[in-house]
Amino acid sequence: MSDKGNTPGGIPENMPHHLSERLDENLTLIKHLFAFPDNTALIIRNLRVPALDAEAAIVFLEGAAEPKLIESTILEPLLAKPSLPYQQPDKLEAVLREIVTSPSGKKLVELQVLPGELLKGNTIFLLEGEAGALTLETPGFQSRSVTEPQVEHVLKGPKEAFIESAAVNRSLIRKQLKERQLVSETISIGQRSAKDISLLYIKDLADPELVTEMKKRLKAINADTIANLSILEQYIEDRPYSLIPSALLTERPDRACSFLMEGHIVLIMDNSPTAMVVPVTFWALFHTPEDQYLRWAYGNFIRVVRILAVFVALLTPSIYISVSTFHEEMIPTDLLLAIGATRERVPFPALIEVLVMEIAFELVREAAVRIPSIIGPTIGIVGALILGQAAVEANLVSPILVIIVALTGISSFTIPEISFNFAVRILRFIMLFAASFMGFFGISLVMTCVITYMVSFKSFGVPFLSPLSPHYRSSKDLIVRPPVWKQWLRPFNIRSQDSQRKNKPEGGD
Amino acid sequence: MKKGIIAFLLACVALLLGGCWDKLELEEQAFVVVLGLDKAPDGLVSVTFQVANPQVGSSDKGAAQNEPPSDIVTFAAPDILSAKEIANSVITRKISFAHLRTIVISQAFASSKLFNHVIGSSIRDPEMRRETNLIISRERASEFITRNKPRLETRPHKYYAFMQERWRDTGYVPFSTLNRYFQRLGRDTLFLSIYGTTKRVKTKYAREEDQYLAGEIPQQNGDPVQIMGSAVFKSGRMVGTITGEETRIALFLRRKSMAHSYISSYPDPLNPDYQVTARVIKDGNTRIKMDLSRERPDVQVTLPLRAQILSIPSFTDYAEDPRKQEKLRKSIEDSLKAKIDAFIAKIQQTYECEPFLWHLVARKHFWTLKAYQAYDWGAHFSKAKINVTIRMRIESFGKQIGPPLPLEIEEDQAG
Amino acid sequence: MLSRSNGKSGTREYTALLLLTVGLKLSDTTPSILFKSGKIAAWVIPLLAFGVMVVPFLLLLAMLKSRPEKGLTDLLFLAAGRWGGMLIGLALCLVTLVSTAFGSRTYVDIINTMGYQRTPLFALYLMLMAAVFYVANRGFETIGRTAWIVVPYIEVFLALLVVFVWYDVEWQHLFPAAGPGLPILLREGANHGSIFGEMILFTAFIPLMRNLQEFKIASWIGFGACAVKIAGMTAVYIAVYDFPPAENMAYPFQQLTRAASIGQIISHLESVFFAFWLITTVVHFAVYVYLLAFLFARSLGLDTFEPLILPFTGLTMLIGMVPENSSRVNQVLDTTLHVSTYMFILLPFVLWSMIRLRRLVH
Repeated sequence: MSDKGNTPGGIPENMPHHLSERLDENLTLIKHLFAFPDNTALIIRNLRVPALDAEAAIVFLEGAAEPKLIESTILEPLLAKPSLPYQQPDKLEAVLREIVTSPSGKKLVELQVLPGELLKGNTIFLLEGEAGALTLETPGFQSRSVTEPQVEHVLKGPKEAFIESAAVNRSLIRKQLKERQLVSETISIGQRSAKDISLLYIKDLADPELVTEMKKRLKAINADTIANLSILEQYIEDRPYSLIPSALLTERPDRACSFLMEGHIVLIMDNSPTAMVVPVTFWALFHTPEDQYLRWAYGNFIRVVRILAVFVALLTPSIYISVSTFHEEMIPTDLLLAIGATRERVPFPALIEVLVMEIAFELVREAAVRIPSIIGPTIGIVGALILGQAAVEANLVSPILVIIVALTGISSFTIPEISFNFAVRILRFIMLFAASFMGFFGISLVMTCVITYMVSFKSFGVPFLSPLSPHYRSSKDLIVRPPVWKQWLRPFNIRSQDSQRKNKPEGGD
Repeated sequence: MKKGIIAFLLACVALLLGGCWDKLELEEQAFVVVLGLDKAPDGLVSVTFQVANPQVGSSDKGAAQNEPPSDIVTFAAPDILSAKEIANSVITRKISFAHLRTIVISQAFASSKLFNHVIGSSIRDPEMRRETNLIISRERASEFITRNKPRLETRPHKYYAFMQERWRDTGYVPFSTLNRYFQRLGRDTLFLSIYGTTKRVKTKYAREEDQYLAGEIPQQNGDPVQIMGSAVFKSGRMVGTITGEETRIALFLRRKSMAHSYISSYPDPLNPDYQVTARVIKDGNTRIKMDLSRERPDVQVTLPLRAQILSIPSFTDYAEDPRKQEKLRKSIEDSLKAKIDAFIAKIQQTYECEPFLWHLVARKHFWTLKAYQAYDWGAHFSKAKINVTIRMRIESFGKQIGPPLPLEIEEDQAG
Repeated sequence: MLSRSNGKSGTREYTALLLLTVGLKLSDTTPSILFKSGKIAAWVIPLLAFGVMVVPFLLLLAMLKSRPEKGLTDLLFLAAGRWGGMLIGLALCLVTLVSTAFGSRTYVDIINTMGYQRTPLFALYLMLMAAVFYVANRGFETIGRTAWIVVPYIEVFLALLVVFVWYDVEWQHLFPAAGPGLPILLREGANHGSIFGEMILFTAFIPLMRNLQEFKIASWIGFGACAVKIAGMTAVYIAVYDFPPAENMAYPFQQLTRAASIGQIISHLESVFFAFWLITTVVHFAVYVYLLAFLFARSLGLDTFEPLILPFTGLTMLIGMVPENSSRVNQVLDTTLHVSTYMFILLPFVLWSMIRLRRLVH
């Protein structure tokens, strides 16, 4: 938490609130704020402005501001301009309007906003005899160039992904969405080191109540600093302990845009190679952009495959356990005898067998993520299967379990969204215990509770399984989707203001 | 938070320790695949269990070399369920009927009064299924089970599963399950059950291949079990047998039949030394009309059939000559009708009841249950005037047009 | 533009809820009770019972029409005054409690007999009621939505069940058509009206619905479909098992699921049906427990009733544990069925005449 003596801008309270008229006093203050001379990043260049016949100084932070830009847009004009009678009576205004060539800049008089400006990469121009300063935009942060998405791959469709620069990300969205009403609001949060968060929404589509609610939650955050959107998500979500996420992070600008067009809000922040979408529904977590890019039949085919995968990933181990320890009559006699024959030599109960294999699989999975990428290929997900084969040879587990665990693992990889993926993987273990305790009785009871929880869960006031349940009118883009030209309704559950995407097509409905 | 953790831990412990009520690992159970019922002294029933051994013939990984494919044990007990309990004194695993699909009952036990009580009380056990098949064996059931060592199937359940499919195709035996047994306990209908044996009685060579009863079929080598004909049950007790051919007729005369086509041979009308083999297929449901107003009810049965001629050993050119076809059709119809009439007469005299499920048609003529029960269909059936009409059309003569005669003969005829 | 979800249910959710809660009766001991009195024509009784209940239901709707946002409980107070309303409300509550408690005991008996013989009844009961409480506690809106999510799967599986046993269905088993005779059938039909007693009871839920119109549509579709479903399945039981055997079956639905098979290899599917049936069961009792708490609170004029859900869940279980075995339960259930039938049929008429009387007096 912030120190007691600090104001929100990070200025000690005993310091003056306004800049003074004397240059050296101002510089001392700035030096003090930035721990100069220990901090060599603070660069102060004194100069004499011939045009105004006055001492001046420019201040910037190394690494935050771009020196070349300062030279060409600030230093050169300041030093080169002759002393003419300027039209602006105020000297700083004269510098801003008639001398420097930076694309944007403004005058400020309060001391407490000054450090923030420097930290953003702006250059501060101070003039002797003026109780104020100019802040001129000279950003010089390094960021990588736009690349292909790392997580949300598609075979067909745009291949740009968000990067760690908010400006670039906003530009990526603007590029796709030529929309007059696309609003980009900036909200500053964090007490010690404030961060700007861009709130993007389409003014005449998004529900104003939702926008107000979002702003309210952002402002209510009580934190020193918010590193990026992943942290922010955890501050504003509805139920922190829930397995179900309340927000969606996407690295695809096209996805963000399609959500914007449905009336969702998109949050963008520096240092986050993603955009955050709120509110989310089950369908947002389950769909991928590919579903829409592929033709109707193909898109629906992969949807069906994926919904099947969700159930396989969630239920296969528990169904195996309950069938083999409670409902033997379900297994065809031949298979039953085959399982029985191999089980006879395995010392552990079926539950332990499944747990051993499932945990081994999760270990391999976690290892594959954490391992440095140079030695990564040596340990593939194949590792788990080899491990399984060896376990079978050693009579630790029965062969059918390798199939079950592999099937479960593969299925869980098809779930596109990371949060949802985790939810399914954790829920699988709960199901497993329920199944081993009471068979299908346990699975059914837990499943009912899960369904009930899911229908009662709300993300920013929007029911998680809407528009399916509770039912709202929508384009029926749920488990399967209609052809693109029939999706003429915006989902009503997001409460967008303009419910139709276009006029009802002929034959559409 | 702390409370939550404690509750969670407790729940985990409960889950891991508590699951021992109905939970039983697969390998701790002995799956009975065939059950045999015999008469035992003192009003007991002798129950034979054939337990499948999973380690033989199922998986290479877990195969055990020196074990038999199944274990057969017999116990005498008051009923099946107590036998199931006693069996555990010998068999190390818990006896389970979850995969029981076949019950073999000896003819002697099926004819006794006890049978209905034993089978009727066992159905209370949720593990006993109404879909279980019934086989009546000529000899003791334990003997039947022990001697049944199929050559092609290592595991016993596979034998019965495959056999069942074939039975359905050939129609030599009825489709008999416990459910059907319970449905046809009433006095108004007969229940037919599969009849089989592992013993050979007198071997007779019949001209028509389906006039056999199990054990009578001339056979050399092969599996010891013969399944042919059916056991007839009246009011839950076995009262007689009928041959394979009669079983086929009985199934044909039912309104809907499960087996739809039978291959059988008929006398060749133009060359009495030979037989004609034909596949007879039911061409829609049998139509049954009744007039129950008279004391002797009048039953009109129309049996629509189509026939596919499969072989003509006499080489008569039926395929090309419509007049000869007509003769053949008439001859097949007549021979079928003669058999049917004879069988119906036999049933009417012997059993005073019918296996054709015509009682269901008779039920339609009554408005209330009471009126139907008062009518007593069984008694009326034995007096009924039954007229069977066969409507047959010959559909095809196979892929050969003429007989494969040598060319010279044809020239001789021409000349 | 829709407003923020206001905790009210719509047509679809309520229809789904009815399809599950009332439709589930086809799978408990209701058909067995029907076989006892309707014999071979037992399948007609649900349709007759529905027909009988339509009259009081229409009367009730007519009374509620001019009073928007008002439910059965409000009507009780309006007609019978503060104390009278409370008394009738508590009586309704008692009937519901008894039928819920013994009903739930039946379901636990089914689970115990058909699948979990060695598990103590109490443990099964406890687990079932825990799930029921969880669902009920999330509110009427959530129960409706849950129902709407699961109803397609349940109905599809019911249809599949019929398809899978189609091989064994013999419609001729349904003859002689009138069974015990028309007069008896008609009488039994009227006696078993309380199979659809929910038509009266659930009018208490009207304040939780978006509007009366949606409630009406949902009720007609829901109860109508349930009458057809129960009648249809009862007919299927007889068609598959023939008459005298069907009468002796304690749980014909569960028997039927055991007969279902896809070809020869995939048979013994009862556990799958059991899983789906259990989901329905939880929703079913969640509605009743919720209704209990709701009725009780409204009768006593309490504003909040959510805290009552837990005690009522417990009470249901305690009462349900009292009978020794399922045949005792069936006796009590049959009696409750008869008594409540008269109560449900008469209630709307009594209320109507009371309201008329009050008008005359004033």
